[in-house]
Amino acid sequence: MKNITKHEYNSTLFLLARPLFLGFGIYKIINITGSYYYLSIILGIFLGLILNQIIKKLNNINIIKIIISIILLIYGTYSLTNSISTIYLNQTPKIIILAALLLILIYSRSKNKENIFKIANILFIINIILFLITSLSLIPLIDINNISLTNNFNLTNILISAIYFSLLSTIPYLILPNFKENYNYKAYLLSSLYTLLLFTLIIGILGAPVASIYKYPEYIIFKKISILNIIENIQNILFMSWIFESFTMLGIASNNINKKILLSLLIVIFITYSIFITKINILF
Amino acid sequence: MKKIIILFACLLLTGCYNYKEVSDLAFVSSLALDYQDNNFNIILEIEENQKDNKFSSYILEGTGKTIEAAIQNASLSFNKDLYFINLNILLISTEAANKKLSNILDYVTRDNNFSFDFNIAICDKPKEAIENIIKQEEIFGKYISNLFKNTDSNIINIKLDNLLNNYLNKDYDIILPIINIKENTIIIDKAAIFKDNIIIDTLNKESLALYNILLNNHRDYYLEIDNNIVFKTSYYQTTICFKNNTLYIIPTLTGTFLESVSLDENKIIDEVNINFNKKLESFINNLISLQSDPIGLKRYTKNKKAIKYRISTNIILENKSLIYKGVSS
Amino acid sequence: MENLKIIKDLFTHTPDLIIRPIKKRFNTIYIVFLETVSSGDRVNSYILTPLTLPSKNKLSVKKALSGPNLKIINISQAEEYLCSGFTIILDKQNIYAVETKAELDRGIDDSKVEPAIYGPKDSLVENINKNIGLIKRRIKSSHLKTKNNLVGRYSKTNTSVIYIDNIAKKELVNEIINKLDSIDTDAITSAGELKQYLFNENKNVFPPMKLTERPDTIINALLEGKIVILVDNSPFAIILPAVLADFINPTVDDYTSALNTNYLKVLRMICFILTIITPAFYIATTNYNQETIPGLLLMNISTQRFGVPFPSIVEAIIMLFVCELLRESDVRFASNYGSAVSILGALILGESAVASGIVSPIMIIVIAITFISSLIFNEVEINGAVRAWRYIYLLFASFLGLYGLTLAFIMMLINLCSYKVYNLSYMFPVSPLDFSYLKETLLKVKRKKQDKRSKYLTDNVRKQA
Repeated sequence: MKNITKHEYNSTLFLLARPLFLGFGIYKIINITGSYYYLSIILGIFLGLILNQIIKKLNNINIIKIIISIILLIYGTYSLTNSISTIYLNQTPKIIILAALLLILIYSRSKNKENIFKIANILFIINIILFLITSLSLIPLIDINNISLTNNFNLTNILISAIYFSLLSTIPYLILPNFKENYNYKAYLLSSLYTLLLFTLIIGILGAPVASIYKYPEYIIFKKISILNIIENIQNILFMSWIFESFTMLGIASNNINKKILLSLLIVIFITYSIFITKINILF
Repeated sequence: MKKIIILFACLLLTGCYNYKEVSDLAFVSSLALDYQDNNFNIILEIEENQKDNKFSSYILEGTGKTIEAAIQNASLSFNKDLYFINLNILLISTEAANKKLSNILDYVTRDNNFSFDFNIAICDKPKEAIENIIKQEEIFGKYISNLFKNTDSNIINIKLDNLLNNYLNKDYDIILPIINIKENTIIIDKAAIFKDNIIIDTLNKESLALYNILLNNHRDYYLEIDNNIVFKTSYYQTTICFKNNTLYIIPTLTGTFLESVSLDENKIIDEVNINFNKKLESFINNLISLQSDPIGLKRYTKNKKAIKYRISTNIILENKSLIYKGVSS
Repeated sequence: MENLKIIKDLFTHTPDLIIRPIKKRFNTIYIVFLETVSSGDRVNSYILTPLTLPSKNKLSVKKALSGPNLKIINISQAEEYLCSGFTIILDKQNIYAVETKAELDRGIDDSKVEPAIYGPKDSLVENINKNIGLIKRRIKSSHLKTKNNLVGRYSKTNTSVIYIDNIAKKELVNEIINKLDSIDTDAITSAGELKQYLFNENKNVFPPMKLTERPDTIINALLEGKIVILVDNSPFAIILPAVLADFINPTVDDYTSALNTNYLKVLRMICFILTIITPAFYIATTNYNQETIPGLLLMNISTQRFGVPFPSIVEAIIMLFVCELLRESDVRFASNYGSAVSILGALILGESAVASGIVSPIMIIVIAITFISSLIFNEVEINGAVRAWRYIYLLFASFLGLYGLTLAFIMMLINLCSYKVYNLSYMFPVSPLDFSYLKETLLKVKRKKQDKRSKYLTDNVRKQA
């Protein structure tokens, strides 16, 4: 792991703090806190910074790393497949989407372990460009009335969602190699602030009641982008940033597992998925 | 070699389930929903996409217990896939709006096959309206959405996200524009306001202008006093705040006088101020008596009852006119 | 005369072997040379004239031809010297070789493959010594080292590894010299052929080294810490290692100001992306994710596709195939007929295909964008690599739409990032991020600010004060 540069590691830190928010995370936090989301997120960022110090110690324990990797692999593939099947390919069976994803994962695992960090470096640059496009075109659309605090202040809810936020943004760090030496709080902070801005955009544009009914409000706000009335409907391209982030997480998680075990694990995921979740067995 | 096998396995295992040729799509430009006798009657206006038929469209009709069933019935005798992303307008009849609004909203938001960017209006005779426009060799959906874009007319422009927000947010009541047919032309000059998701009254053109001012929707507004004095705004900003059990509504209108005869502008400004205050007051009184709140005043009052309100208008004159004196003076 | 017999045996059926006996005192000297590679004039003036002069009749051969040209060799070397244009003089048991090479190369010409408007006009030629001269004319320093090697059992091609010894990394130089030493093959005829022996991993479609014919490009590369290999009889030099960014960036950029150049550099990067993904993006958006296209444009596409019998994937593959065909035939065919091919192609693509309803006009625009943007790269191999990935993207997009496109993109990143050229990542300078090389290739800054070399290429980082 000598060949990983600082840039590569930091961009991986940046990307890894976000994929768990896809779908479930954002939905949950908006539903719990409504327009007090920012209090809980700021609290969550502080909690996350503290959690990272704990993770520094836990990171050396191999068994935790492997267990978390397996959990993240299962959850990550599940959430990514779900989101793609709702957004990109709504008539395609989920199992096919999953199959393509797993094959690319296997291809990624066949390469060097440092490779995923190099990829993360490039994906980070792409994500920043996509982020600039979104934020610049969406910030004017924010309606101040939506952000103003309307619903009732409930401290326990805010605390719960702060814990949610901190856990979702830091758990992926458990699977990183050499976390103790390379951890940089700035990357985490930047990533979390990016998430905070995303929440602000979601609530500011859609309003808390509307945002809370959507499964993927982070996708819905992209639909509202219209740059000079010419560039429209770029939601599908902007949503790719979420795929990139999830893929980085899956790639690093699969690097922690032995090649043969990984292969059997992926096959198990595939089979359970086809039998229990989609309930269609096109292969068997 | 492994890579090639993986690649081909990756692709050949997967089908092309979502594959659709563009030429096989039917672009739905407007969708009208009516609800009668426990049945949905739908009308779909579809744009022609064959060569040399650029601006024409045709109508499909269907009936069914649910919206999906009605659409399926409509497309039974139709050889293309319906494509709703380009939908320009969704027309809802009064009956459907009163009874099945939640179903309609659910149908439109659940699926990724609908875009976010279409207008919603109430129309009780959608078939007549659509056929009227088709006769003029124009596409109804596009025609109407252009009407909504026109800022000269003071109409309200409700899109899916506004409606959803009004529907889900308890602080607002729903307001929807009404499309009317008058002597073979289509005009949008009224809006229906809802209370508890049921239409209770309509607002006229004058009230809609005031509604726009209160919500800061930037459209041109003009105020007539007597017959000679016309005040036209170029910009307005309304602030609403709630203090000591009193709701302060402070609209600030910036604009110029048109067709005004007298030179004593300060005097006219006072007159305009008083006039506008009166109008706004009667508008708000009307809303309060109807117990409907499309403006969302509840947001400020936080559901407190028996409140007072005070309106104070600021009129600011802008020296934008080309002439110093009125022509007739 | 055993030596003469040996030579005669070696060169049987070689009609251009000329043997001139000259009587000198009591014995006969034989002058042997190959007419085709030696210059008759030089043989006359360097050897025949001095030897036959009456005043020098009494002197020995060595004294009569005294000068730097004369070398004493043994019989085993005779073949090599004869073949390289030397004249051999057999005097009893002594063998002398005199250089009488004929000039078989052309003069220095304009650069044809990599033209530059304001750059120098000279380009490499087939003569390795001239090429080295072109380089030494530009770097007047003893740090410029040239390491010569003969490669090929039959061809004995002269190759020279050129580097600046206090800039280039020692390990890299040694590695390459070892690689050259280990080549055991019949013949190396050009730089393109040698290139394939220098890099074992032929798994990746992207080229690991760059071919150039411009001396100024070579100089820039040498000063960056790269290594240049010249091959005799080849007007191209190999620059290695090369990364993706090098192919997007031609030397021409050095001759214009930064502000204007950066626009072109960004344009080129966009072209690189466009030429790979345009057909795939078109397929993905029109067949799978139509919501990505604005309504009016989609209507237009739909109207244009009306009546086209093929699915758009087949349409795209047909058009790409026709375009490749056209390009290849244009390159292979004699240049006099080239225009005829282009006219035919333009007619087929532009008019008839659309008129007969085989392809839609929009597809022609898509393919035209693809091909025009691929013309920016003058390196043939990068074009080939781009073409391969274009098809992979197309396949993915035609089965999984925009999601497939994203997967193909990730796959390309995995492939490119794992690709290493002499310990240098192929995505360098983006990943690993290195600003000093980024300023050289992908973006340009003020000349004054380009003050460092990349630490990945050299240990001697400081470039200017």
